[in-house]
Amino acid sequence: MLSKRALLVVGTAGLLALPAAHAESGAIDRGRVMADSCLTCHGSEGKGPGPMPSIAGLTKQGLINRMTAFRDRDTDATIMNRHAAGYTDEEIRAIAAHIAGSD
Amino acid sequence: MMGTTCSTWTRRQLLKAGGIGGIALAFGGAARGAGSTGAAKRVVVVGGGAGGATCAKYLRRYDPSIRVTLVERDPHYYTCFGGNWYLGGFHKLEDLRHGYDALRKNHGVAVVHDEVTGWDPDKGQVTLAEGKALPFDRLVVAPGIDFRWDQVAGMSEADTERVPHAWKGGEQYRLLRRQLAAMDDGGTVVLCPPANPFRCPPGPYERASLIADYLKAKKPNSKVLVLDAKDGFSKQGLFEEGWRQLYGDRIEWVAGSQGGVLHRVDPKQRKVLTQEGFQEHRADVLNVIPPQRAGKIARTMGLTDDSGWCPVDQRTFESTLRPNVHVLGDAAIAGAMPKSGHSANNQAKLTAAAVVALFNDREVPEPTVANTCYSLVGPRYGISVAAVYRYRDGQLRGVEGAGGVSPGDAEEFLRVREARYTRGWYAAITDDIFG
Repeated sequence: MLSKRALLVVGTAGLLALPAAHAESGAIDRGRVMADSCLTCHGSEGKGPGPMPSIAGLTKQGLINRMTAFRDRDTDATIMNRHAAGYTDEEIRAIAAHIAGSD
Repeated sequence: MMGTTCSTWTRRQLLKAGGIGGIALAFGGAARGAGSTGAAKRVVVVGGGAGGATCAKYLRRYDPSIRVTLVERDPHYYTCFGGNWYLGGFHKLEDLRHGYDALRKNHGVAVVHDEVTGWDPDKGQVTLAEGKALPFDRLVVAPGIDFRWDQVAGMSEADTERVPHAWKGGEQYRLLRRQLAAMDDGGTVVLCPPANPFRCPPGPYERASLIADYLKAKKPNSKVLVLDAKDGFSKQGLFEEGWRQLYGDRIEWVAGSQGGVLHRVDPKQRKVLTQEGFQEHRADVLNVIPPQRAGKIARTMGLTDDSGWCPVDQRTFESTLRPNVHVLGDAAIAGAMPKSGHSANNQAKLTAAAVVALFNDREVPEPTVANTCYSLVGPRYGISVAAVYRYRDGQLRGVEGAGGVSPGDAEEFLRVREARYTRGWYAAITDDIFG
């Protein structure tokens, strides 16, 4: 916990224009928004409530592999093959980076 | 408020985010908009449903320096999605109810339970029925739908206790459920779905399915008659296959051009006339789902066009009729995206990111978004339709080769799996919207 004086210093520093916490240079990149669109089915933390599979524990490459397999119809799926087919390689990489990168 | 939001972060994230400034934000220091010189940016979100609540939450997630006020008349939101499971008798109404505590506590959204009655675009304020006017720098309007009673001859809103629409959540569903429970065996339930576009394209057919499931068990001599304004419907092949497998001939669907179009409703007698008035159908339970348009406040605010819906720039969902206002969810014209809770949720994230970009004079991200509609043909028989949308040539268009419906003629285990995912989807989306 910072001392009162330190807080005053810090508070003043906060008056400087600084990037918003999650916005890199004032904008949210599309990879982040696309990754967030996955949460609609996989839950707000990506951990998959109930029967929904979790996407939160996978590595970036793991997610890329999974989404690519779905897109190529190379793996068992009910709906993910239909979803994955909608994304380009670049989009899959961007989505995977965000999901794997989040805490 | 800032403290509440940032308390969920680790110190490492705060330091990464903006060094000293990050810590300043965490300790409730000056909430300065990024890249701006003045006070914190304020966004007012009108409507606390799937679209509005998601947008309020994600605005805070994307940029905690933005002050977000969500105005929602009701203290709780009853989802329409999942409502048919309650009508079918295997789900509780309370499980469809969601509150705003998490939005307040976890995300620092200021939630005001009041009704927006209008606005002053020049002053940049919305007027409330009870409280003081709320100033905004940008406005998000997600008012859902309103019904076109002028297009239903013979009935009005005043008749909806006798002839429920149950096309908005909560009390209307309770009414319809009670009527179904009270109906004698041998009765006929008549459902009248509207012409496109309307909220939740597969909804009426999931409803017919689950009412049939209930009747099969409890009132086996009863029937469901669907008098449709349309000649086709969402996931029709799959629904009809499921109806044959599960319900025999318990559900009869009449296409618009084959006599399904409503000519007139007699709510007192629960009768409908079709075929220009030459055919009469008596119902023991009558569910008329009227044609729709954008929620009333959108009209009041001048955000609708002649179609009754709200035209927007589909990269940002900013109204094309008024600057500084975004409209999303059912009320908006969103290209190929259907009117669904899932669409509203995705549009809300796109809009939140766009608002952040606009506040900072940056390029909007134009993410690819999606929709998924899960339907239960029976409690253990699920089907789905999915689509992915990308902005191209002025519209959100379905991505070629992606999306589609569940396979027809599938094994039982697939239907059981999708039924499980249907329930999982509900838990996930409501967690995403309200959690």
